Amino acid sequence: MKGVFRARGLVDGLGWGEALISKSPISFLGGVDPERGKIIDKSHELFGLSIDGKVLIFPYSVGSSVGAYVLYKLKENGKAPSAIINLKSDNVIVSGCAIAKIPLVDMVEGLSLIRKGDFLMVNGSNGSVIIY
Amino acid sequence: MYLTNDEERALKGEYGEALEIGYRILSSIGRLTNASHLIEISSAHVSGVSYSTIGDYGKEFLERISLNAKVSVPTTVNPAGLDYQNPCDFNVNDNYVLEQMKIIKAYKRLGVTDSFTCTPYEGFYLPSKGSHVSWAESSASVYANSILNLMTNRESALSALASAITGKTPYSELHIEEFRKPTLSIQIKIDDLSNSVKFGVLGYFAGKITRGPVTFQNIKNPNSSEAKAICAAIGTSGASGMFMINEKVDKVERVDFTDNEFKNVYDELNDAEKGDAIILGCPHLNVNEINEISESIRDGKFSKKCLIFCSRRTYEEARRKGYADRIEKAGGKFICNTCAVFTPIISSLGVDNISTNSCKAAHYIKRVHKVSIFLKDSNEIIKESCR
Repeated sequence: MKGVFRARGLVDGLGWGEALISKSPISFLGGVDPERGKIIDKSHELFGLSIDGKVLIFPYSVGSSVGAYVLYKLKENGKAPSAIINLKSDNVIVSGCAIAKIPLVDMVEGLSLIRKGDFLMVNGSNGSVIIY
Repeated sequence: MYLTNDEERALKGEYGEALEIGYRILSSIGRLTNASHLIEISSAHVSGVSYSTIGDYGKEFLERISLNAKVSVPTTVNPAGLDYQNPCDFNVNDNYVLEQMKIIKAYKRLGVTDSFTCTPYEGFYLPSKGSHVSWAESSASVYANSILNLMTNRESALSALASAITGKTPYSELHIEEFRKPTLSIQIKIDDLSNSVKFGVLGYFAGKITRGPVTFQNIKNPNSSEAKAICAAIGTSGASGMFMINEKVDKVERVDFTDNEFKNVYDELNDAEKGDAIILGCPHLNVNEINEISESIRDGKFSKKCLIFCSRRTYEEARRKGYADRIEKAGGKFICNTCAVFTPIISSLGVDNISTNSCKAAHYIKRVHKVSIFLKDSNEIIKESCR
């Protein structure tokens, strides 16, 4: 285990899974297919990858505020990430995770230690991330 | 963020799904904005009504949440993607009409006022000065803070809906007096700031360079049309939620707004030398503005399509007062309860360029509908197209 790190807990809940890391922001409307849980923006570094069940890490969201409803749809379809970690969250991602019940944290102290595929436990209620 | 015992219970779902979702949204936004607690609000204004903006995903969420929820404070709503009482006036496909109607039905189930306007401060319930409210629709929230002496953050469709259902909002940012002081002072160095396009350009300029409250120095108080233009433009180009006129400030950053700044912003928004159709009413027009259009038409006739957007309530009042009649005889067409941008009507016009007096419409129409914009004051537009 690499350690337990403090974060700002934004949306309550506990989520765990493998880390999937994007250095570039994500536009959920048009960038993610809520039916299959995959990144469909061809210009995105995670193009073609599944976010289903992953701990999805990206700096912040961009694009339409309808992205919030796309997160809700992902959850309804059982294709949502198990948790989301942002560098700094924004209104769209916060409200989307709130309605979809996806645990969300930002400002994680040990963010730079996380590698793709690391197993993570994200606690949105008390604001912590465990890196295994 | 502190929650009362009752709010905690609601958050856990003890009072049903709708309140649980509402409090989930508010507690999360509250943490994001460093709010200490939630406060009660006197009214809400909710965006996210046009099918063109929220699409199927938004519609499905609203249909779900409206099954077991009611708004708990007076709540107005933004314009739809078409006039649901006259959906067949334009060549809008049947599926769009059907899906838009489902969204409207969901809002009606929630118990909102059927305002369907981006200017809920004209003709609808207004709380007393100093009240805390939760307004989405950027132009309306900037207007609430700057002109109406109400206190609101720039809410999203979801956060305003959560506030409408719970009757609360996070106590943060523009709800707190100390955050309502200007962080930027713009010195106006243009002699003739005389119409709403120029005020709009000023607002667009301000929105681009600050996220905080801004004061405009050395100008007269804007009239209501000019104020609407500033608010809509600030809301379009950035995140600032409030402006003041000639507020005394010291030790804040100062920026000049000269003919040069004006020209740069104007040239960014204006990319056509003519407009083959006219769009007026972004934000929605009030009765006085309709009267002004009517007066400048005189006995002329429009040489091209002229669409005028306002709430149905405004239109009916304009008809009663005899202002609408002359415009309709000149060939102008009123479109009620519909957004001037997020509607399939714009594309159905089949034109490559559009005249408008709105910086907000200019910004969005060219991006959404791929149409060029001829940005001019409404008097000039009417003078050159109505003879």
